[in-house]
Amino acid sequence: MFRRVSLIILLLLTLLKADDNLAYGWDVPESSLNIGGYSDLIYDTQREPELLIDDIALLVSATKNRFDFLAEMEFSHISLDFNEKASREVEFYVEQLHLSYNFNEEQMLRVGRFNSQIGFWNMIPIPILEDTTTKPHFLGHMFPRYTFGAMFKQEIDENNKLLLTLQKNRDFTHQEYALESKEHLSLAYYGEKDDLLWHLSIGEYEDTSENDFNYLGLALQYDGEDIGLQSEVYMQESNVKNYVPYSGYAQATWHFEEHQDLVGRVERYKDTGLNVEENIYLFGYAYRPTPNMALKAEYIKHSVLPINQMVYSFSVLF
Amino acid sequence: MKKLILFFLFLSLLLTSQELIVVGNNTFPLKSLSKEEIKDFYLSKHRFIEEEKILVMNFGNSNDLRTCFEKNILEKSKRSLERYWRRAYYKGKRPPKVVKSNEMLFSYLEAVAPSLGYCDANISLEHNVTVLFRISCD
Repeated sequence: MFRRVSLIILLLLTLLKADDNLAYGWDVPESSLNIGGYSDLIYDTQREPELLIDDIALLVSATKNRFDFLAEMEFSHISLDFNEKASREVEFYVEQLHLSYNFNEEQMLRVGRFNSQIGFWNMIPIPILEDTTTKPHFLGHMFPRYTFGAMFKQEIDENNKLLLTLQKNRDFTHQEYALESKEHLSLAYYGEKDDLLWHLSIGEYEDTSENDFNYLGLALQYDGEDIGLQSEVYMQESNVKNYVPYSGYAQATWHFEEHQDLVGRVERYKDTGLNVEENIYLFGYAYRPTPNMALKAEYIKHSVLPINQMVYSFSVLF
Repeated sequence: MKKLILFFLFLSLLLTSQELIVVGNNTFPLKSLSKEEIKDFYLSKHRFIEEEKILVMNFGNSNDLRTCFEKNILEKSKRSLERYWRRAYYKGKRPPKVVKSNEMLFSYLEAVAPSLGYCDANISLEHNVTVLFRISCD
């Protein structure tokens, strides 16, 4: 029953967004509250079951004077196997729940659970916002994707800013494909000039098994009218035997027609736990009939592991 | 004679070229804004001016003046802006308030301080607003 309702909701959500005015969600009258969300239907040849509503998420945001609030809650892995043979259970996550206070235009303090402010992909890690459905390997391997703590932003000038993140406690929830940490400290720098953005991050974290890891990251992004280029490289050090010494990717997106993109991505990583050092190649196509909708297809080839896959997705932002 | 015709053609082109002005309410704290500052307000990168939250207004997607504004001041295509606001929405940011007419724009400019919008240079002359930036539409 829940699955049928979820599928109907997903289909109805596609109708909610007007294709105009760049605004999403529903502004609650007489308040500063906005309620919206996103959803992804994914067919993955390497997954069981292959067809899933990967997530239906609710985004609730509010802004009042100097305070900003954001909550992102999602139901994941809703199988469309109506014969009840699906092996995976529906899960509920609180992905983000944070309150920010803007001291002024340059300084901001955030507390709660939020996407760790590292790199580019981790800032917007959902398929409707990215050029591909699948995420690069580094995500979920090099640093905690989420931080449950505090973050302070300091703008140096209009084009440069520093972000200091601190976590000194266990996370209140867990997440698939995310490292769980007890402590996390990171310093990130973001710079931009016209269509070019660059980023440097350094940090350390302690996982729930009390193993220590250090990481260093470098990222570049060019967001042009016809071509988008993005690359992130991370290095990791640890006092344990099983870790990921490096992982990185370079991705190019060609906006070859008004609503259509071609994407190519090359990745390389080394994992001492799996004793694997391999390349991953991706070739994909994306069609965005309206600003809030995306249909994507991609083929992913691994140079060592036997997990080559085709992935198709339908994503909606509402 | 040919030169005279060319002169009048050139003059008529100049006269028909639309000019856009960025306007603030009549007590706007600054006397002018740079293109970069306007961009920051319209892309929600900056939201305060002298400690006060600013109301930023835009016209609807099909408005010619908005096309001129996006091309000449924001210097971004519609596709690029769509991409930007999809991502910004996920971070809790919201785009400028859409006003449907000049009357609505000026009503907000009169009622809310500080507030920011843009309009055709000729129309604004009748209203008590602060002209912050001026540009010709290509």
